[in-house]
Amino acid sequence: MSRVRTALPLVLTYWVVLLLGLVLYTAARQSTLSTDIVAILWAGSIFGTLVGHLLGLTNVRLWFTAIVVGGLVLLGLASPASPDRNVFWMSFAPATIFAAISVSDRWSLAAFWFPAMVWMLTILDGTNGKSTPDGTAAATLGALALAFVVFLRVRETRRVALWKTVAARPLATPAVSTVFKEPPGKEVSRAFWMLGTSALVFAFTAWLAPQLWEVETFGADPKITASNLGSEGDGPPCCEDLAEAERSRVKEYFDFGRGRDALTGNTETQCRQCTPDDDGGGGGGYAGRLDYCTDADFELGYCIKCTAADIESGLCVLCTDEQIARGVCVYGRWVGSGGAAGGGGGGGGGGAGGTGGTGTGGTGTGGTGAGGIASNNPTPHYEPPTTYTPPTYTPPAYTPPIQPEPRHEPQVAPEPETPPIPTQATNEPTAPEPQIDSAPPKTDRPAPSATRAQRPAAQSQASGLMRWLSAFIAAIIALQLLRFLFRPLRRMIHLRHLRKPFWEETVDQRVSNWWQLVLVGLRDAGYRTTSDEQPREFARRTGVDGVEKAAAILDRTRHGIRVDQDDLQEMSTASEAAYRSAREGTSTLARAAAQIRWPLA
Amino acid sequence: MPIPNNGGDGGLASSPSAGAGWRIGSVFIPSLIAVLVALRATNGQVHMAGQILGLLWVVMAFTLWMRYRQANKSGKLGMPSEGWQQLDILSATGRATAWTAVVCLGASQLTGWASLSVLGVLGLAVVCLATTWTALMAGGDLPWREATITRAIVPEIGIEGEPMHEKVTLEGVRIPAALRLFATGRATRHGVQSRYAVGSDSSDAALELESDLGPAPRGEHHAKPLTLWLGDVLGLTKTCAIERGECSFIVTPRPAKVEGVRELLGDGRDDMHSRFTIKMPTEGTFKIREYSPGDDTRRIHWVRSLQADKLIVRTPDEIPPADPMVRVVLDNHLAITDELSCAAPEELLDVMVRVWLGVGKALAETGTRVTLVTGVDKGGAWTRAERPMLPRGNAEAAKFGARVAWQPTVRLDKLLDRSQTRQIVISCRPRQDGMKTEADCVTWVVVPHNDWTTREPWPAKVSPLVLPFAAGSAENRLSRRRAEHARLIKTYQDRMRFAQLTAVDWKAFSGAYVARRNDSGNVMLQVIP
Repeated sequence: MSRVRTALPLVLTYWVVLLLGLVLYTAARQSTLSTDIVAILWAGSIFGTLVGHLLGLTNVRLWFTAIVVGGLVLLGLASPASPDRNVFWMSFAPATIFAAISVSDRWSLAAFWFPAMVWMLTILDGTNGKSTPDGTAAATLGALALAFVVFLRVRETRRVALWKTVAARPLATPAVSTVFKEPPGKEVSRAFWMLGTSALVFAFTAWLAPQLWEVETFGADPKITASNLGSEGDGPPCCEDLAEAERSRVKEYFDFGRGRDALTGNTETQCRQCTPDDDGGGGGGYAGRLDYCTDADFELGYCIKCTAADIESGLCVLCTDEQIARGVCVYGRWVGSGGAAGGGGGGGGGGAGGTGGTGTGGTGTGGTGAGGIASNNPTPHYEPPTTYTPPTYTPPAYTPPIQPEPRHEPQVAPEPETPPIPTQATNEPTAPEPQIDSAPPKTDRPAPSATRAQRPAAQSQASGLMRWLSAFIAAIIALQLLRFLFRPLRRMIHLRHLRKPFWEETVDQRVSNWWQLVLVGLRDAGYRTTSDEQPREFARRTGVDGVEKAAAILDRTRHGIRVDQDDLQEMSTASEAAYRSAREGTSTLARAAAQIRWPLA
Repeated sequence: MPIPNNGGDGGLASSPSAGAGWRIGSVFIPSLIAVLVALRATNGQVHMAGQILGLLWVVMAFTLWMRYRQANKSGKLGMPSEGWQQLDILSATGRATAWTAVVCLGASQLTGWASLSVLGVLGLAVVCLATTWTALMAGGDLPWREATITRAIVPEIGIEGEPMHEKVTLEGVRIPAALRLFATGRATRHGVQSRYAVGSDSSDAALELESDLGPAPRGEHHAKPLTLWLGDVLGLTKTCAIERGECSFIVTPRPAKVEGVRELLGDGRDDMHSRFTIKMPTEGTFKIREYSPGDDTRRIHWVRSLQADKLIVRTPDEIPPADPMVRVVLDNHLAITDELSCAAPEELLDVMVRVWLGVGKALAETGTRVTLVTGVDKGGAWTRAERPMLPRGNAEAAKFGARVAWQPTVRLDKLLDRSQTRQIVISCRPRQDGMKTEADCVTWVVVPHNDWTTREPWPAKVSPLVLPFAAGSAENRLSRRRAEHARLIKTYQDRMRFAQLTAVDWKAFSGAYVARRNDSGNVMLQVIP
């Protein structure tokens, strides 16, 4: 029983760290992750840890635990395959093994892996797919480091307790330990050490560990909209949306959750920067570099929108950086739109307003009619406009949001031998009708399974319970701090009562109060007494002025000898003198530390 | 002065050099491997991490190097390996943590799991920080410079079987923050081991540690010093151990109550019963018995009454009572007991001393003048020593009994007297190794080892499924289990060896007496048939 009592703090610490990790993760992912997955993760972790601790505390050898767990996992995996099943066994097996290790000897670092891994799921949620955690994630990582230090300390405390009681050969029964004198103010150095170590470990881990994280990319949900435009509008997809299809994350044991909305860039598909300026235009004829198109360009029809289908079908052929750099894609043109409303080419690639309608020059894409989309069988044609007045246009400064890697084999628009003749000539380019489907193109990658990375949790969604948790922890810390700060006040009130009781007290009690004051002063100076030590012996040992006199009066009181008012006066004088004399020998730091000491004597 | 290595966990009797290379290597190699691997990484961030870890490693190595140089220069303990002891700073847990951290970092590079890299960094960082802190704050002789460590076994002069306590007083021991003071020691050779752990809140304090050592074993004991070292509160590091607090104490024997001691007095053994004998008419014989109301007071034998502390009357038809003087000799000549690891030699000698004093006391109470004889250490040499045994107030005899130990020098025939004085020999192995031992005046009391000593256990079979000790205890470690297994086997074999040494040829000693324990716990003398 005593062994269980000895192990209790360690087991509790392990459970607290684990449960806190699970709660944090649940809070962070409550709205985005499948409830079933979370519940199974909880079940596997808790059940496994319970089994592991039970086996560990009943002294079952680790290899036997491992075999039992392995057998259970094999049996479990024999059942019909499902993501839930995998999650359960993936959490149960390590939870059992590492819980059993946590109560064993030496392997505390290894034992901490499972709780740490659960914490990491939450922490990595805050990395945005990069190896640098944001503020909350860094703080959580630091907290994990502190939890590890606490775990190590609790484990060592248990080991010392076991060391004192468990041995192959008989051990002596420890009796009481008595402190006679201690240096005053030692609490200050301990507090400094605690703070220093905590800060070092906190900072070190939060700073250094992320340097070693490895970022991986993975397929994500096919329809993800993170841009302002969302799925509205035509033309090529927003880069933000495409980038999400290439989300990245930091690798971890469990592959669900964690993936964040990191914009890693998409190098395979052309996209457009959906800046707030684009709102009005909603995309445009895209031929080359969309970011050269302004709202006015769209309104005037110099830039028109290509849909993803257009791009896929080759109706819109996009300029490459190289082409833009070489100047061959200054003006784009439609290679074929057909339809009645075939709009002018979005020669936006060149940016300079281009000659969208004319489709002259360059190998860029162009378009001729907005109505082309409506045609099922478009026939490429070109008819120069009769009149055209180029608008005044100043190209904006180009700041590429994402630098796609230049293609090795740039896709060049086919050069028609003869200019295409548009079926319907228009004097002014007409913007095409908005396209309904502007979803980004599907990738060839398989769709993520339920256990694959989920869509990133929205900040507001994740922060709901987290805020409550943070507030709760902050309240606890504040309460402790308040309690700590109130100690001087508490001491002051206590000493005031010892000197001048707040209520009527007997003479004997007053004498006892004064003696208590002496003890407080002596404790400030580092002297401690025991219940076995007589007051006079204590007084002789300390050698502080006034203590012996106070002890003599106290002895008389204890032996029932009458104590009158004069004695009380003498006691007060002697006690005050002893209190002051004891404290005079101490340093300022020690006196300051005494203000926050409890118990006082 | 040998400095034992406690492995940071104490209580392990491993030699200082055993595995020292591995222990010291574990301080530097794991973190160095991690640093080198990280520095060679092409990834810029990992490279950066390697630089940071490298910085930590350099700080740690510099601190240890400083302590190493300092210890070698001072050489206070006069041991050439003292500098190396300053480097042997990781405990078993610390070593395991350091190597696990390296494995975690390697595995994190293979699998890419962030949790492994976090654990690796945490492990190495904590080990490096703890090592640096311990070396800096508690390295060398820093904790012991102002320390006064005294140890006392109370009562200083105790009585066999009574409770005994150990009191260790520490003054001025500097226990830096985040470190603990550990102390362990054994007051007697086969006694219990005391273990203490003191937190840093008792740094520079005056405090007294106490533990109950159980029943006191007889003898003049010289307790070996306590082994003290510091370990950090995370259990990762330890300082090199020192030894302080030697002390001496005496435990006097408790004489056994011996029944049937009158049998030892030969013709006088039946002094309470009349016995036919031929005497001259003028000699007369006497029978004495206790005074009972109605006896003629003129028949009171005043001398015997004074001796027996009760009124004795004589009746005129008896022989004189037993011989007035008896030498009770304790045969403690046995050479190799120091080499034996079992407790049986000490146990048997304790019983022999108890019987020896018990017989002497019982005889003295009957009015016999008793002289105790045995071989004791005097000024470094073993010699024969004699002490009178009085019916009461036998402090001198008790102290004499406390001094008795197995000795290889003074043989039994040297202890026996050449005169025809009746001599009672208390021995565990009666033998006929001289004329004197075969004399008629010598009576043997055999204390058989198999009646009075405990058997040493053969190592118990350890279940393959269940740990022999509580999970988390260092005693479960394979190395310790092996060492303990070897110790138990040796103890068992030594016990067998001792049994052969003290084997009794009962036939050859027919008519002698054997001391056995009776139901009431007293010693009962029985005649060997």
